[in-house]
Amino acid sequence: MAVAIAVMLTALVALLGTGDLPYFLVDEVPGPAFLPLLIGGVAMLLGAVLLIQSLRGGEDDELDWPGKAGARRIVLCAVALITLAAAAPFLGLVPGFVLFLLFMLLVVERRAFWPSVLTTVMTMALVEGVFIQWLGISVPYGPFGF
Amino acid sequence: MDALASLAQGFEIALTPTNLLFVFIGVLIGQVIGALPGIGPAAGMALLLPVTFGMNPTTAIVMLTGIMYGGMYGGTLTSVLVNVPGEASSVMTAVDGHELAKRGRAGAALSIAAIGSFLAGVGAVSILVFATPVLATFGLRFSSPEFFLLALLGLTATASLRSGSMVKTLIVAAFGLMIAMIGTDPIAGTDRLTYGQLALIDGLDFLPIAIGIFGVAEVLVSLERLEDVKPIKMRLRDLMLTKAEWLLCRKSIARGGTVGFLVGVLPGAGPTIAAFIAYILERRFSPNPAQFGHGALDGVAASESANNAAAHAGLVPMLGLGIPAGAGSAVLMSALVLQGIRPGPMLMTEQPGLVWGLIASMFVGNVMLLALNLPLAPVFASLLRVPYAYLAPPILVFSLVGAYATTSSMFTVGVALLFGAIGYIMIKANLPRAPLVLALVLAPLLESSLRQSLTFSQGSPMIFVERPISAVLLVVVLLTILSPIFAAVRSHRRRRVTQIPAEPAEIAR
Repeated sequence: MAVAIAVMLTALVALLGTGDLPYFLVDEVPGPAFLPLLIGGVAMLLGAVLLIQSLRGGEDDELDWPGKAGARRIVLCAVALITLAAAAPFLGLVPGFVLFLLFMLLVVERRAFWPSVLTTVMTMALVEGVFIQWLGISVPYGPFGF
Repeated sequence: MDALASLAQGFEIALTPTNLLFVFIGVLIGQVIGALPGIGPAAGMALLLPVTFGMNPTTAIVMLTGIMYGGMYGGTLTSVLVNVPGEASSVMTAVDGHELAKRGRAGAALSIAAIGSFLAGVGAVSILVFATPVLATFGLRFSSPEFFLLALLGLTATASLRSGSMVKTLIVAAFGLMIAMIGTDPIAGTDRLTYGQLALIDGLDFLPIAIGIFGVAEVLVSLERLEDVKPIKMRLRDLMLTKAEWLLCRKSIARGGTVGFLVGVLPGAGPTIAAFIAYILERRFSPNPAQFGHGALDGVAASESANNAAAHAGLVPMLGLGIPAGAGSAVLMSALVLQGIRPGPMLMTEQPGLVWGLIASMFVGNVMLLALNLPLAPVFASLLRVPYAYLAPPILVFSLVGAYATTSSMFTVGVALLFGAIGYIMIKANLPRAPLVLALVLAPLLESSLRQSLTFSQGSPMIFVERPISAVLLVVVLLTILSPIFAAVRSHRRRRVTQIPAEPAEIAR
């Protein structure tokens, strides 16, 4: 049921978002709102069908939630990822990744210290070697100069 | 004979040192990714797309394709040695392969899987050599109405052929189409669904979405359970098959390969469904059907042959018509677009070197994989001893740096994370993810061809019926939508009939 409602809301957002755009241009040429309106309408219909199926008990769309330990790892990982994305422009992408890796391995997954450090070093060596040096990708630098 | 001459030229391209190296890199990475549970070949291809920027297009595509079919070989290792399918298409291999491993026959299971995959893969590529040019020639007769219906068929067939809820699959496809609408209208040039955000003017890139939906989401799911696996030990000499085992399995390989090719060519079907159908069919032909589920070597042979044949067959509609058959070929198509190459029936005439070089490289890649999987199987098996906990965070890092590399902007990192969360919820809610990616790739073709068709016909939908090829395609599209509905109604009626209680007079008798 949650999936059905989410889809219908998304379709509604799409329909409202294209409300001020023309459906047709001159000479019957389909305009920018043509396909979004069509797709939005189909999605609304499909959402309604799924909702009816859920209410009748025909569709099993219960989410398979993880256990306590698994949920802890996922929540911490999500927080770490969001923090990384927010802090990287200020801290630098490379220092951000180092901190992320150490946090994940030592705190979230509770792995041994030296293998975690080795994993971090090897990963960053690959990132530096492949993406920064070979492909020449310009990453945000932090106050440490890297 | 033209096809064979073109294939010979393809071999000249595939056998250059650079292309040979990158075929090897691709199949090796595919083998490793296929062996690792928690990340599939489509995710691996999406993660490595940024690495292909600036590469020669042929080299880039042969590497990415190598990952795709290499993953089919790699998925066997964890299935047999750990009873965890490394790849979705290896589920049936896990059922019987692990039972064989517990009886000390892990080597036989791995051998027959490698040999079956090789023979079926080479067979599939051989058919591809002749089928693709025929399909491309036929596709040159297509115009906007046909392309619209073909793109629509790609989405509806995905819903029709996948097991599970058709409504859910279509919903995911519709969601993918809505995402693809974000950005600038390709004809009128106006902003659409950007809500005034400058970062959305160019729309959402395919790559961060694919990285999020496949890479990030799969790692998040894997974090739920982090038990270290203990693979069954295996020695090199265990890989030898007995004569009786080979005689049992050779027809299974032929049957599995045939089923795999026929199923793999259909949009939306893919290696997983092919492996399942081949396994079920093989049980009917097997001299020992009771063994299925308890260590049937011919079951392993059939399902592994089918999944590899299907992985190759998925390239037929992609190369011939520009319609991806599944998530892997959708990523390949986006790689072509990123390289500035337009997929479609013209690809064979505009880029013959790329197409034939790719086809020839698949012969070479399968030979490499056979060599990797037979003598080096114990080496790959030892990789399974690396705890997944040490792999998950690096995979996330590579995912995010790959997403960043697309536009050198943290915005795409945010998009990858957002779709990682969406992909995680989709996995938990049992929603298929491949239709979303397919819809993203097909949306530009779908919209442009629909609007062009209606422009030519001055708004009349009859254009889709008046042209013979588009009329046939329209009927097929309607069948793919209606046949699961009829099947569901029939099944519902049958269940109601069996539940109707007997009349009281009959009970009294």
